[in-house]
Parts: sequence; structure tokens; C-alpha cells
Amino acid sequence: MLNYVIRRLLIGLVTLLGITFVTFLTIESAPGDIVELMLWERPDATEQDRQRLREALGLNDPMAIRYAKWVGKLVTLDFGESIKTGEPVTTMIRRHIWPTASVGIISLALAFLLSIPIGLHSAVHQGGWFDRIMSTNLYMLYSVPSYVIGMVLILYLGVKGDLFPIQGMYSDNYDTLSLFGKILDQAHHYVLITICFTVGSLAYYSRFVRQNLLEVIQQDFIRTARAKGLSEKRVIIHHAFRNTLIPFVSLMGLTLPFILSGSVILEHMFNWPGIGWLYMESVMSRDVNAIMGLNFMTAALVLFCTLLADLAYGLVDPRISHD
Amino acid sequence: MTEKGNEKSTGFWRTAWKRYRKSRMGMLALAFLGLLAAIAFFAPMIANDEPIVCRMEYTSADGATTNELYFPGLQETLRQLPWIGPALFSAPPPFSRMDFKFKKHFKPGRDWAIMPPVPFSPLETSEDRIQGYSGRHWLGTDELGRDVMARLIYGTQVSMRVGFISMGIAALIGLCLGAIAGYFGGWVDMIISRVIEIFMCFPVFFLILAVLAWFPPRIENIMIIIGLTRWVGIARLTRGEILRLRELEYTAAARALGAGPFRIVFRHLLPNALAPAMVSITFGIAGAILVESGLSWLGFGVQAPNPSWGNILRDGYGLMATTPHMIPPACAAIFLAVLCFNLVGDTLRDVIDPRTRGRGT
Repeated sequence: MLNYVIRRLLIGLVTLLGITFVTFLTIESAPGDIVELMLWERPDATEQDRQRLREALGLNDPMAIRYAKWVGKLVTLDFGESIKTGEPVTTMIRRHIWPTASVGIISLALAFLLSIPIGLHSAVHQGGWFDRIMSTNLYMLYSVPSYVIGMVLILYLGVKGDLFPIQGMYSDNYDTLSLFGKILDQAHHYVLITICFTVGSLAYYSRFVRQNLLEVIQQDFIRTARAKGLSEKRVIIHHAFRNTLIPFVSLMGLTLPFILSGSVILEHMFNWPGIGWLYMESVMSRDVNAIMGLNFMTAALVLFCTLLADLAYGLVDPRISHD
Repeated sequence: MTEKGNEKSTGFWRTAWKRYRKSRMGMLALAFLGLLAAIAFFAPMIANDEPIVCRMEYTSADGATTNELYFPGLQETLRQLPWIGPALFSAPPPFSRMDFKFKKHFKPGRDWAIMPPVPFSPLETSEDRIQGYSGRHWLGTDELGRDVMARLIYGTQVSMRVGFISMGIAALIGLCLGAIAGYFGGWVDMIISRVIEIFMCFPVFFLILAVLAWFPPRIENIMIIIGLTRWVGIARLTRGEILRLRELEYTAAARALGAGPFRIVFRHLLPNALAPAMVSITFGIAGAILVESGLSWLGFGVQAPNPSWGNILRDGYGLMATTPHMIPPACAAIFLAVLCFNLVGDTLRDVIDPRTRGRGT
């Protein structure tokens, strides 16, 4: 087991280096000069100033050396400073991670909790009215991109219905509210964006649970369980459903990249100060260090979750051993 | 000999199509996609401020009067075609271009014209700013008085082009790399598989944005970057299929007959490994359309004033309080296109996958 984890971590490390290298290469090969960008607002800068700046940023070194330096600093989790504000990238990430993480966790939990009963009920009563209605609706929801859902929710519930706030995490008068009022205010702001994050994975998970359960139900050990006189409820929940959990667990790890990708547009749309929002800001100001840092962080996160999912796989299914 | 053998064994795609036809949803989705493709191609004849056909009398600056039949809309449509398009520039009447302004020189009593159903061009601004749905402007106008319906129609063109071309690039890369990795194995497979893994566990959207931050956000760049990042799934499936196929007897037979690796891979293995990749490509087109709309929404895609579904959505979002009417049509367009590609992909998978064959999903 330990061996397996170490091997996976090493492979993950190589993959991470690959990802940072691809990003580094892309940014390097792109047209445009960081120095010019930084001196955008200082047209009086002389050639000497430019040279000094290049020297200070270490831009005069060859590319390989700069990449090595970047990786070297990375070992101490130092992504450098933001080119725009001069703030350490790590601090920026720390400031923006909670809004994304909280929404992500809530929506993942919601999707998980809702998809299981939906999938179970649909599979057990396959072809029934619930199954037919749910299948059609889930298929459609699965095809709606989260930003389209966001636009529709903002338009009908936010602007026309005026039921939910559509921008930011707090109201303007947040500081004047009582503790209870603050919680309520934040929860109010969470509603729409959480729905957007949830819908896609909910549809995907439900379809997945249903499909897998249908496959498991056809297997021999289910017939055996029924034959020995167990109640249908027990057969489904204890015998069939537990076996669908195996691929389900790894699926949860695999959806993370999609959630992160979606966060860029959604957080921009809801003016939500999370990782996606920060990424968009960094891209717009061409903040190389921030982009590199964020890319590294998201990739590391995704790799870590895939590893966790694989380990959980072994935990849920004793037939899979990692030795 | 091979030719004859091929003729007899075209059975796979034909039986697949026969099974595909039985799926009502699949056919419906395919029909809708056909409609979208037709709208995309014939856009200049559906939404245009110049007529499809007209007869115009025109006196040029040197006093010569002509009275001829013109097909401006048809011309613009055909000009999109490669090879034929450029030739039309120098064609004789009635296919010659009108070198005068239709709107300025058209006289109702003297000339006649058949206008397209949406008589506005997507870039044409007017004084009718921010109007709701009406008989004149079917889907209203935006803040510059441009017809939303016309913009939506030309947005279809953008989406279809991005979807097909970017996935064409992705398919080319994915099929080749997957085939090479699967057939040769060893360290080649090692490297390609590692690269696939890198792309698999990376939020590709982040990478696309990072690239577009530096490269000019032109539609060609978007197609290329989507193509360069979306080949992974296709490569993985192809690799798996080739791994399976290369162990079969007919591959050994081909090798025994002296066929080189290039011939075996591209002539004997790849055609048979195409089916699973086709499913992945279909889903990929939906994904590419989503990415393009998302990028356009963020301002990194198709640049204003050119229309795209994402742009229309963004314009509607920017002035949410006054232009709410722009949001539902653009949302519906994106949703329907993605839904139909997904439906076609799913039906295709059911048809191709031997496990679900005959189960009649």
C-alpha cells in the first residue's frame, strides 16, 4: 500500500513538472514582453531602466535556467510575486481559495446526496414515470453548460424575480448586520452560484448511479440474494447499491477539473472572489507568476484528488489491492 | 483483391447506420444538426441587408446604364466555398458583383428584389436600439440597434466552424498519436501515455485562457488551441483499440505479406479503430462549441463587433436590466446545439458498442 502511494506520488510529481513546463513553454513562446507590460504606465522609462528591470527579474538568463530557478523556488512553495501588485502569489491564492472551496464542497455534497436517491429510484423503477421524467430532464441538464444555467438563473431569479443577489459574496451593508444577519446574507449570496456548480455534476452522477445499478442488478449474486428471500429493499441497498459505489468514488475525483474549469466563467459572472476569478484577473493583466502558480496549484489539487479517489477505490472494494 | 474485399465488408458502417435510423431521438438530433449546418452555410441568404435576387437599373459615374439581374445573397453564400468562391469574383453577369450600394440605389417602382427572411446584416447598426421581440426584429435589437436574429444566425456559423475544424485538428492528432502509441508500444507508448495523462488531469480551460492571454484572440487561434488540447480522449480510445487490433490474425497476415508499419497502421488498423473515436469526436464538437462560447463570453473569443453565441450572451449580460431579451435566444442556441451533439454521440455509441447492441436503448 505504502509502496503504491509512493510510486503514485512520484509519477504525479513528474506529471506536475510536465504541466508546469507546458505552461512555462507556452508563456515563453508567446509574443509580447513582460517588461513592456510592466512599464505600460511609465512611458518615461529609459532603455537603462528596462535593462535594470530585466536584470532584476532575471529575464536575461536563458529559458532553461529560469525554469530551473522557478522550480527551485517552488520547493519552498514560493511562486514569486505578482507582477501587477507585488503581492506574493501564495498570499493571493490563500485569500481567494475559500470562496471556491466552500462552493465546491457544498455543491459536491449536494450532488452526491441528491444523485444517489434519484439514481436508485430510477433504476429500481426502470421505465416508470419517475424514471422517464428524470431521465429526460437529467439528460437535458447534463447538456446545459453551467454558464448558461447561470445566465438563466441571474435573469429570472436575480433580475426579474429579484429573489437573490447576483453579485459578490456580501451585501453592501454586510458590516452593519448582526451575526445571524451576516450568516443569512452570505447564505443568500451562495444560493445561485451553488446551484450552477451543482446541476452539471448532479445530472452526471444520477445518470451514472442509474446506469451502474442497472448493470449490477442483472448479475447473478442479485438473483441469489432475491432467491434466498431477502426483501427487495435489502437487495437493492445492501447488495446492489454498494457495488455501484466503486466506480462512483473514482468519478467524484475525476469531476474536479471540470468544476475548476467552470469556475472561471461562473465566478466572473457572479463576481465571486474565488480561484477562477483570480485566474481571470491574472490572465487579463498577464501576470505570469500568478498564472504559473495557479496552474501548478490546480494541477496538484487534481492529481491529489485522483490519487485519493484511487485509494478510496481500494478501500471500498477489497478485491482491488494496491500492492 | 483488397478493393473487392473492402466492398463486401463496408457492412459495419452500413449496419451501424441502419441501427442508428431506428433511434428516433438520434435521428431528430441529427436532423436538427443538419438544419444548423444549413443555417450556418446559407446564413448570407437568411440574414442579410442585401437581397437574394434583384433586378437593378444602375447608372454608373461614366453615364453607362445597366439593367441586370443580381444574386448578392447567393453570391455571398457561394463565395464561402473554397476554389469556387474566388472564381465568382470575376464571373460575368448575372453572377457579377453589384459594385454599388443596394440600399442607396434601389427604387421600388423601377427595380424589384426578393429580400431574405431576416433583412438585416449582423453588423448593421440602426436607430432602433434595445427593442424587444417584434415582427420587424424577430428577436429584438441590441444596444447598437443590431438585429439579434441576424447575429444569432451568423453566430451559428462561428460555432459550427469552431466545432468541426477544431475537432478535425484534434482528431488528426489524436488518431495519429493514439495509433503510434498503440502499435509501436515501448518507450514511444510510455511518452505519449504520459502526455495524455498530463492533459487528462489538467483543467484545459485554464491552459486555453493562458495561451489566449498572449496570442491575439482570433478565431483561427481558438480553433487551433482547442484542437491542440482536445485530442487526448481520442488518442486514448484509439490507442486501446489499436492495442487490441494489432494482436489479431489479419494484422499478422498483413505483416507476413510484407506490409510496412505505416501501411498496417493507416490502412489496416486505423479504419477499424475509427468507431470509438467517432463517438469521442462527436462529444468533442459539443465541448468545443461550449469552450468557444465560454471564451467569447469572457471576451477572449470572437471579437466584437463580430457575432458569436457567447458574444450575444455577454452583450445581454452587460446590460441585463435593459436587454434581458437577448439572453434566452442565445442560451437556447447553445443548449440545443450541445444537446443534439450529445444525443448523436450517445446514439452512435449505443449503435457501435457491441455490449449495448440489441438492447434497444
